[in-house]
Amino acid sequence: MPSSVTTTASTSLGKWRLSSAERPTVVHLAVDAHIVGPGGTVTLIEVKAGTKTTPSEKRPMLVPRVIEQTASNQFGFMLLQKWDGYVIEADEETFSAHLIDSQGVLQPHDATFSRAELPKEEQALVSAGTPFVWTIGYRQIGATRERASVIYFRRLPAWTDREISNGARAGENLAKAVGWE
Amino acid sequence: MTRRAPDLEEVSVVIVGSLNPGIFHPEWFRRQEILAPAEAEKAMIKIVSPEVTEIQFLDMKLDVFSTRLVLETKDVSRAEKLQDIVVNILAKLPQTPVTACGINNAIQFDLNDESYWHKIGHTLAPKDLIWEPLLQKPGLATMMIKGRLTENFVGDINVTVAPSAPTTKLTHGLFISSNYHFPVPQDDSATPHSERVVKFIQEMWKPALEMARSVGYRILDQIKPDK
Repeated sequence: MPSSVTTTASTSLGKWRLSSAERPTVVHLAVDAHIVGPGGTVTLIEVKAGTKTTPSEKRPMLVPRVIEQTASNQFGFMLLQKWDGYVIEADEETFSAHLIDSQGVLQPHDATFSRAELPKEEQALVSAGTPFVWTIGYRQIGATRERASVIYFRRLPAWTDREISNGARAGENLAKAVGWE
Repeated sequence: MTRRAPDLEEVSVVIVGSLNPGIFHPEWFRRQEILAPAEAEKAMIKIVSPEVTEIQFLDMKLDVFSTRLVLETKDVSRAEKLQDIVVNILAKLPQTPVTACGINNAIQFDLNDESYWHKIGHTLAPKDLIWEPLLQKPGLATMMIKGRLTENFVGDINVTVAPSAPTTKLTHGLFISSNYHFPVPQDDSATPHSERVVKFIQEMWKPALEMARSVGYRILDQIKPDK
């Protein structure tokens, strides 16, 4: 039996419509009401069931909330290429890195980046061994599309003591299994 | 061969469990070093309350309710940043009981070809056997296919294929979404092994973000437009 708990998010990429263009459009909006303000601002009143996208959700939360439609988070990104990288070495102006194609299609290679490519808050994170992601694509701002290159460093939580001891134990077991003298 | 990139894309993570929405204030993210000070300062607060929180930062939208947390973005250039934020939230709140987790990816292709658009719908869901005698102009509204998660996690992969919504402005768009759904295993006292969620997110992230693409490319490869 399917689980009654869903972990799908209501996608703002939209709900579906019928595939025949001549049929009336059916849109399962999560929005219950909208109010147009004097300045043209649209306020959407949504019931919390909107976070579920599958009909198997039996108990929607009924917490009303107000969502103002704003220009923020409306910028889509058409992803063309993603590299997983880590810093090999860095100086004051640049850093060099090893890059691996996220989809494993292209060959790994090394590259040098200018630190100026990074936002200020990311620059402090540059050090040897630090993992990062480099994405290339088109940023869509309304009807405009511009080429974009985005670099950001991973901010992973520190290893816990338990993880370190588990790793050490796994390493010992592996060494024993190999049988090296 | 370079693949055609989806025209629209969205990534989200959903955490189901017992949450305290009131703590998810940008200041909390800054203090926990999940967001840089400048990132936290730029965050937009819609509401932070014990019942519900909605904030935006880094082109991401965070919704938290007492039973559900959703972090989503349309800026997929930052997908791994979203992943890191969720992992850090879980790492900072290790006592939070998490009962399920989903990694979601939705993509859309603008086919710009009405007959091809119909052909895909009719090939995926043939109408002649059942629907044509019963309905006028039957069309595919949504199709969900469920598969099983494999490897180290027991769960489901839910893939949805549908025509794009009119709000996307894709005249004849193809929508594909994937949901990697992981119900967290529980011990005899019904306590969930919440620590497994971080492992799930880290290990299944890449396949979860490739599934919708794989389905989309297979559809476009196997179902060709009429010449």
